[in-house]
Amino acid sequence: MDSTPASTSTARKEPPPALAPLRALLFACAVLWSIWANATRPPVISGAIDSLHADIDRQRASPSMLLVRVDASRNTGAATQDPDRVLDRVAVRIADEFLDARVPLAPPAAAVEGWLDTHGMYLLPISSHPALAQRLEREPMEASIAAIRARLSSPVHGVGGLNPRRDPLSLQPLLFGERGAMSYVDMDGRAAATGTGDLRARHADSLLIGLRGDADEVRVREIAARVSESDPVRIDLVGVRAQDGRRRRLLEELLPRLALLLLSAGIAAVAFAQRSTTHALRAAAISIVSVACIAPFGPPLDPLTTPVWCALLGTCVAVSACPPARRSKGAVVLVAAALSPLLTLPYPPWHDMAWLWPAAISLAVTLRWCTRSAPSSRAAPDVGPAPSASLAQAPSFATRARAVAICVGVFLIASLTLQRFDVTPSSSFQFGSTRAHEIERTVAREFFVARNIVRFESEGTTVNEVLDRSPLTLQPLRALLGDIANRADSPGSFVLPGELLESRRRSLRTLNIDEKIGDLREILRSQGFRDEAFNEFLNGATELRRFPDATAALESGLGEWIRRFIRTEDERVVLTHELELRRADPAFLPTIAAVGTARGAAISTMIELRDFEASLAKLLLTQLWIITFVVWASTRSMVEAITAGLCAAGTLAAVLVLTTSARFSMGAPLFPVLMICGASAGAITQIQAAGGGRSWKSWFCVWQASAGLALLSTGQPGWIELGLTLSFGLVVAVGFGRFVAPGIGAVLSGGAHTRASPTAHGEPAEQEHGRDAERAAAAPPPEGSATPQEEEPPP
Amino acid sequence: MKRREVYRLLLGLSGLACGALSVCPAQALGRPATTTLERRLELWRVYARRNQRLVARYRSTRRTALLVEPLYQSGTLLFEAPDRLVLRDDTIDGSTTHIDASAARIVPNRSGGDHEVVLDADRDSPALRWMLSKTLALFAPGDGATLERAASLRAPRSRVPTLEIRPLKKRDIRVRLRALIVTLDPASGAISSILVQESQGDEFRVELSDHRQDVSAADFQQLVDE
Repeated sequence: MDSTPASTSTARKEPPPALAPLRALLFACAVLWSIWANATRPPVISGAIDSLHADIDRQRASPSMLLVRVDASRNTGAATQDPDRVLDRVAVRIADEFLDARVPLAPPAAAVEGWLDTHGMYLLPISSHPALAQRLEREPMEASIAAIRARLSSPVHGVGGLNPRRDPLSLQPLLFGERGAMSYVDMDGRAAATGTGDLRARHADSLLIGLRGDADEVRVREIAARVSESDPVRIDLVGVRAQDGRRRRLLEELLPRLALLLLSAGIAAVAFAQRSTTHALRAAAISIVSVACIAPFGPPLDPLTTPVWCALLGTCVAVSACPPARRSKGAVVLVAAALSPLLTLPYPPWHDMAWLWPAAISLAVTLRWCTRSAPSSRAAPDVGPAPSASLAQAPSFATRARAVAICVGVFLIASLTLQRFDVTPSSSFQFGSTRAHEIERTVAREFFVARNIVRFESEGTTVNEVLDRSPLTLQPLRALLGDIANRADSPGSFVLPGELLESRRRSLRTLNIDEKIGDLREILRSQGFRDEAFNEFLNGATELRRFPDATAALESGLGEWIRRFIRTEDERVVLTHELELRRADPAFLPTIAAVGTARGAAISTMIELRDFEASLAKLLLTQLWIITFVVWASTRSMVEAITAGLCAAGTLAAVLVLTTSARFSMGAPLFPVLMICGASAGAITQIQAAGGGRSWKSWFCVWQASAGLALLSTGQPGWIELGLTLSFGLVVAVGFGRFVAPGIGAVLSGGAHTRASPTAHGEPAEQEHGRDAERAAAAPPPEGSATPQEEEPPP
Repeated sequence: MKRREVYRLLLGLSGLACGALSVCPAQALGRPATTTLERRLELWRVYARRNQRLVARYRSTRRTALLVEPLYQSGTLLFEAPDRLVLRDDTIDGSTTHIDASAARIVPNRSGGDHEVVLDADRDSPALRWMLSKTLALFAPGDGATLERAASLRAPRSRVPTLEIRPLKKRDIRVRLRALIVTLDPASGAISSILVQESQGDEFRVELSDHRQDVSAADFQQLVDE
């Protein structure tokens, strides 16, 4: 073997013995660096699934909440209690326990009633004053009171919620111009505010209690456990912070298992392929050091990025296990540039991964060079067919026809099935326990959808200033109520700015309200009503000396709820208006943008949904261009380049068809997996087909796919989908690389194509020129021309 | 027999009665009540069976804190199975209430559409939805299953057959409505009165008379259109 030209070539490729200390030093430095970096800057583990959102749209300061549900299984038999009483009792107990930590989620019902009774007239816009004047005329008032008397003779009057005590003249429609403009006050949503500002579900026995975002989670859990022991209720901590914490704990639990599974699968696959445990352990060690060196500088390990880290580890195993002589430089560059197309998208974690991925691959290749051992005398000869010889033979007509048929078939199916994508936003990524999902769904079903809330901000120098101006800043946002948003939470619905107060007072004085209310009392009495039963309205309408200004609002029962919307940043006071969208529909974006600058998870989600197809097209085109260019640059063969590009395109098309057919979640979390599959398909065409009786094309993908298999075992739906997609994509990549690429190459080169076979130098052994190919086919195979002795372990 | 022995005998009998009552299964005690309910439901079924189209006269009384004196009205009740009910007050001061399965419409007789109120049961009030379903079920032919759904149905002991329908322990219904108490005619089973007890303390009673069952469609429509 040593006497063959190939052996000579391999020996020439061996690093000089003088460099052995340098290589050892390099490896030691990498190991020490990985240990030091991880010790001083350990990777961050996060449970957030909104890491793909713009930083400004991520929710950090949202309050935590306690979801209290009556446990029907414990509230049965003789000890059955009225669910309302149970919830009332629990609410009081929790209020006692969290005196300082509670925040009202809605304007307290009693405070709102008092506020509207006192300031209802002022809150009526001036545009409604003509209508108000008309209703305060004697004749309309008589008609209104007569109508109340007439309606009282209906059996459904009281049950239907008609309450003439507080509004005998039906003025509320003038006040509630758009339903939902006053938080939960003027809407019939899924929940209603209680007297203390908690939310009570209308159609279920559950209660939502707000807590400050910085409430001590351990104490909250202790108290919740104590309360739920004594009462038949289940209490769960919900909110962004609680959900993130729950997912982080699950992730911390899963990560060691995932890493162990991945390395075990990788080691087993490498050991089986290489027939050498030493090689397998070496590949695993190189991979661990490579990933560990860069992990501290990467994005946090969260449910979205962890699959990419797994794929990186699997790819490092593949790169370090594949014999260097079998993979060309082009293949390495293609694998390293797998995630580069992600730089074209606006997702920061994918940007970081796009830079770190090639760094890790380069490190793995370098460490692989550092750990190359001297040629072993026990090294087995390359017993397999000589790669260049076998490939040099022109593919048969059947091979070419099959390749063309597969390509055409895949692209045809893709063009038929990929008409429309059902996109799932990254914020709906399925990760977490079943119970956590059930809690999230309960809150969304019975109260509100937190991820559909958008925020608009206004700034000022003092609290009173921003609060006084809040109605003006809220005014344009009201245009969204109705079709786009169903509720606005803002102090601006309850206060009036100074200039408006004065103008409204002047306008109300012209209406002679005192005199009109006197008439109303008389009409009520004349029609058999007790006028004192209407005192809330009658007294409030005539009390025009108390203004609904910022100071009064802050001192009223609404003050605590209002302070939730105000924060101080760099000596600026920021007031937030919150609107709950009906759904995160990208079609809403232009309307929302027209009324103001909105922030929130819903905005990022809508942008993500809107741009999905454009992003996908951009990614695919960029990657195909990179693959074609890299292959052309490394082989100087356009046929090779186009073949690699076609293989990658076919693989990507097949993966997309799978994900849509299997109804997997299509969204931004899928992008890295797609890119890895495409790059691997391109790289496979640049890996020498076989050596030592083994197909390195297949094994390369099997080693990579160990990441997908490890993800499958975690049981998390989101990861299972990504793992399946990755594994399937790599299998398809192998299929294209092995069975389609030779045929396509032959077709493109006019029927007599010989694929370039990388030599041990990583250079193409032969070009696609037909005459050369024929000559090569006729010539005896150059035995072991590219056999790296030291790479092939003893059989 | 000496007086002391009589006392002892009475005491012993009382003890035996107490013991028997204490060991008597609750089901046995409940049986007469259940039987009463079944009997009354059967009485009502006989009446409701022929209620494809019903016309009756009514006299209503509302007692409320808003008014100095109770409000009396009289009018005509028109019902067409399964879910159309109209209560039309006779006087111009009254109103006409149109009820179907999902909504109620109150139209004052004097001002008509100007002060008309439409109450959407799904949007406005679960209590209203509950009440509409029970009110329609009271007149519609059926086996009484709808009356029992989401409700506690009782037959309190009284001289006149009475059915008491209360919403189950749901705050959003009970915050508006406490009970519907229906009185039946002991002979025919016809509904003679319905009392609506509202949670705020108001009461609305409607007393029915002159029941005309299975009115022809043409006559019924003519009465509705009047």
